[in-house]
Amino acid sequence: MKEINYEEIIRNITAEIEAKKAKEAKVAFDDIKLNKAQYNNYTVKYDSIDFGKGIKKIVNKIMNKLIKRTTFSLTQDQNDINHNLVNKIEELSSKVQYLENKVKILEEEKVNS
Amino acid sequence: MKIVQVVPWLGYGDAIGNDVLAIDLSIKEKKFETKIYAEGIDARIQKGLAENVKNLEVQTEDIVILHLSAWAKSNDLVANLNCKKVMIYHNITPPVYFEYYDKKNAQQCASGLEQLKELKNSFDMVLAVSEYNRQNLLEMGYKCEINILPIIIPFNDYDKNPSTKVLKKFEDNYTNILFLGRIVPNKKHEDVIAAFDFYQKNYNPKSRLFLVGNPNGCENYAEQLKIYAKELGTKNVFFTGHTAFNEILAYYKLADLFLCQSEHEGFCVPLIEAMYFNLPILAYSSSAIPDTLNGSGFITKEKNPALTGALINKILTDEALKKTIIENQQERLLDFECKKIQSLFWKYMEKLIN
Repeated sequence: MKEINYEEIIRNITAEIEAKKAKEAKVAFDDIKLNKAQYNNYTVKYDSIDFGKGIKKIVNKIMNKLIKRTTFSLTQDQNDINHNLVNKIEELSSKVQYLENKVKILEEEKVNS
Repeated sequence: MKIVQVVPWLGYGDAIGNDVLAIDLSIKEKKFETKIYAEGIDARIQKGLAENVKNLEVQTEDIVILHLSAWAKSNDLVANLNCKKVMIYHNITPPVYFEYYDKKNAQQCASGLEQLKELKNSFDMVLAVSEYNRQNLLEMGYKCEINILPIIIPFNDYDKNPSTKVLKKFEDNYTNILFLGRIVPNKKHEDVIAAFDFYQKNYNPKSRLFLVGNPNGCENYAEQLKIYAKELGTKNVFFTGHTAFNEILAYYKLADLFLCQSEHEGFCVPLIEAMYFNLPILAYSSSAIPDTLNGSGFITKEKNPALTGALINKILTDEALKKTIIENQQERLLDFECKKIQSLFWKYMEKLIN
């Protein structure tokens, strides 16, 4: 392998940053607080674990409709079909999750006001 | 005599799933009787390839290979079998990373590490996917033979067609920075965002960041990351969510640099993928990352978003440096050729067969 002088590059870059008076981020990741609805994972997992309680029925309805409505080419193999389904379900469930979170936030705001 | 594999979850397209399938193929090529056993099997896995671990039956001369990456009932089941036993250790993430975001997962990681310690005298041989993993096991008191066997990566898959939809969406003169991996706290996506933010604001406003990975189980962490990018005022940060394989290929094709700030990896397959796609790698030195890169890529020992952001610019604008990084990566990539890893696997297996 060809040698790279890491130390020299880092030294030069550090000097460049200081000279440039570069703009550094003022927000720390750990200072960001999630509200209750954001913190609680209203997760919808197709493969394995559980659907969030409140959205289980909605997701099941969507899945049933989706399976009825979705048509696939006969040339596609089973893997593709499953993958498309996973994608579509995840896409739809993230929308449901978003709405669920919105409702929670509105409920919290209502309580707080 | 048969050689069988046991894996708690046989996933489709993930690193462990690919490793299991590649080993299965290699065992079949050597004409040994074999089978994959799992507690759970992804619906996309070809039917008949694997069956429920409850059906596992072995004779004393058989070899059972257990893939361990989390707590599982099947780990104990294999440990108690009366036959030759090999563990392939893929690593378990320290629970501390999940304690705030996913308590259940934190508990599972803690239980997994406890179980791993308890199994220290249960195997005839361990194959660790990296030197870092081997050191972990030695610290836990493993006394059996521990060899290094990197994950087998099916490179042929990377020559498949990338998603034209994704390619068309982003084909322009923007500079694309990529990180690929599940959205989980140990991978430190926030440090990727912070470094990219510095790069975008100080060097290249026409740049975007692709964070390709599934946030399942850590949606709150993903949410916090999105708020972080928004509050920083970073533009063009794309969270792709669940991504199909041809879309992953497209993101690799579109990318100009692979940026990894992860603090815990047992191996880190995306680094090898980035090498395959000739992307210069800029990575933070942690866990197995220095082992996997082995002198290639550009490694930083400091977590400093300004330095990392400036290094992105340096690598992308200094053609000679970029060329050297890529050449070194190409050289390192040769160590992961399927045939090489397979012959290493058989070198170790023959010790048990004989």
